[in-house]
Amino acid sequence: MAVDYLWQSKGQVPPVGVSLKTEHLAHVLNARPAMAFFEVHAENYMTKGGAHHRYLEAICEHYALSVHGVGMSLGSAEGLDPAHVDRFRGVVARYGPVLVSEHLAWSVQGGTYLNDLLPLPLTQESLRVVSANVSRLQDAVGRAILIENPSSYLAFKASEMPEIEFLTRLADATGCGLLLDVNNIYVSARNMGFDALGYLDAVPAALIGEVHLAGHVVKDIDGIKLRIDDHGSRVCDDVWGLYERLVNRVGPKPTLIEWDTDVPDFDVLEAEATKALARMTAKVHVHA
Amino acid sequence: MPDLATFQREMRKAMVAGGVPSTTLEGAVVSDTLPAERRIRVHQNNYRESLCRALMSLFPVARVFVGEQFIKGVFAKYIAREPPCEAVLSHYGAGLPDFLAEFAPVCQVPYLRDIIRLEWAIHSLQLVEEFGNALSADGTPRLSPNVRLVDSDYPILNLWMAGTGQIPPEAVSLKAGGQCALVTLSGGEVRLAALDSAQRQTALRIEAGEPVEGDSLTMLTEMGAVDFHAG
Repeated sequence: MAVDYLWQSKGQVPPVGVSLKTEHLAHVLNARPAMAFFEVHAENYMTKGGAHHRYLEAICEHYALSVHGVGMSLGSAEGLDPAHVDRFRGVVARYGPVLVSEHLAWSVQGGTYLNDLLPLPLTQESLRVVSANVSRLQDAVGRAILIENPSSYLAFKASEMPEIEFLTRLADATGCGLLLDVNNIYVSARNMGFDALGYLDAVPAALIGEVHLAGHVVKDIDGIKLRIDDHGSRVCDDVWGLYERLVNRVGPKPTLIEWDTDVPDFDVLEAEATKALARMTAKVHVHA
Repeated sequence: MPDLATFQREMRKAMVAGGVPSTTLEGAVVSDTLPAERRIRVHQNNYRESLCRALMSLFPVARVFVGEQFIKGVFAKYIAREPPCEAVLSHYGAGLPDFLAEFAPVCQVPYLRDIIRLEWAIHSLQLVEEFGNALSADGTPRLSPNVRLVDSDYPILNLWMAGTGQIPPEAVSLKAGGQCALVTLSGGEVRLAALDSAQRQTALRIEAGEPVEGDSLTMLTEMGAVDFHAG
């Protein structure tokens, strides 16, 4: 499949966007904030009707859109749910997004949807399963998609390769690109005790079709601090530092501020997007 | 390490049942600064808490009547009994009224099930395509796909209005008797109305597929509740 997961907005400034939440639909439509694109969860638009569709259709007349799936379960050994593939294809066909993405994770087994991005052992078997599922989804939507690196809270004894090697081999096998979530790298590195910089520097620049930035929460479990990726706060300074390092190496990439819980006023998301834009713009100037 | 299918089966069991994971699953996960069981519990908690949040957002009025702690307990039992079968969570919760019918702890709040039915009726209409006035093939009146009926032994509409802060709680008396709420999707908006006794009888007969006629049928048709072949 041809590489069609790369997107640059028509403006001179690299594209920065934010999650489009129900709480902000009316504000976005009425105030038309300066934003290159918005991202929605595909599963929230898999109903036939509703005001949210009417809002999104109107917003798409003015903004580019990214469709981000959270429930495809690309790591399911039993394969994809045909009905969900069909619903996903329907959302992509309806809105014609500039970016389409899903996760390196699984969430469905035996007809039960587990509503979490569950981890996979990084094995040859998993690589075969995920590759087959990604190819099937790409065939269904007729385009290459981006696969996001997950947040990790556990590791498997049987894993045979580092996550970035798994993702790179997945891209080689399927033609998919990467949605690089910098916060997820940070969360996983702190939770699992690996080097975030090593992971970040190993990501092939050409595969990155989008970058995610988000906040996380720190929980104390039996005296051990565990970082939980809850998308409910501002991006932390350490993650901004990783993002600057990434941009300095790979150049500007479409970047999204994700926010899914405890959603604040839109201007908070806008301020976070401005921070990302400042870092990307600085990079552009350095290379001018 | 078991094969991927076996691991995922074990993980699903651990997620749905909660509690201590199987030795197969625990043995597959690295124990380091935290034991494997505690790391698996992060995902068990994510599963239950995220579904609970989803249900809380769908049934805000029910929470008003029984409090956050009680309704979270109800949802936790429901999630354990009836996990979602698809990733579209806006479809999850349809089985909650049936679950509550057999859930003894809610007997102290006998109208809770009907509040849940009403909230689900409103929610479900917010997600469907609005149909134009279709004529039934054989001329028999039928309820429009744009409406839901919630017939209750309790003043369900008044309770809902109190729960949403539109009328003071003291304005609602359970002794006032039951109400039948007509929930209608019209012009992209969901509206609620209480049917009078005659309208209620007519609507329930239409829902049951029985023949009807008279002023109540005319009024229901004017309310957009009935698709009717006038010829």
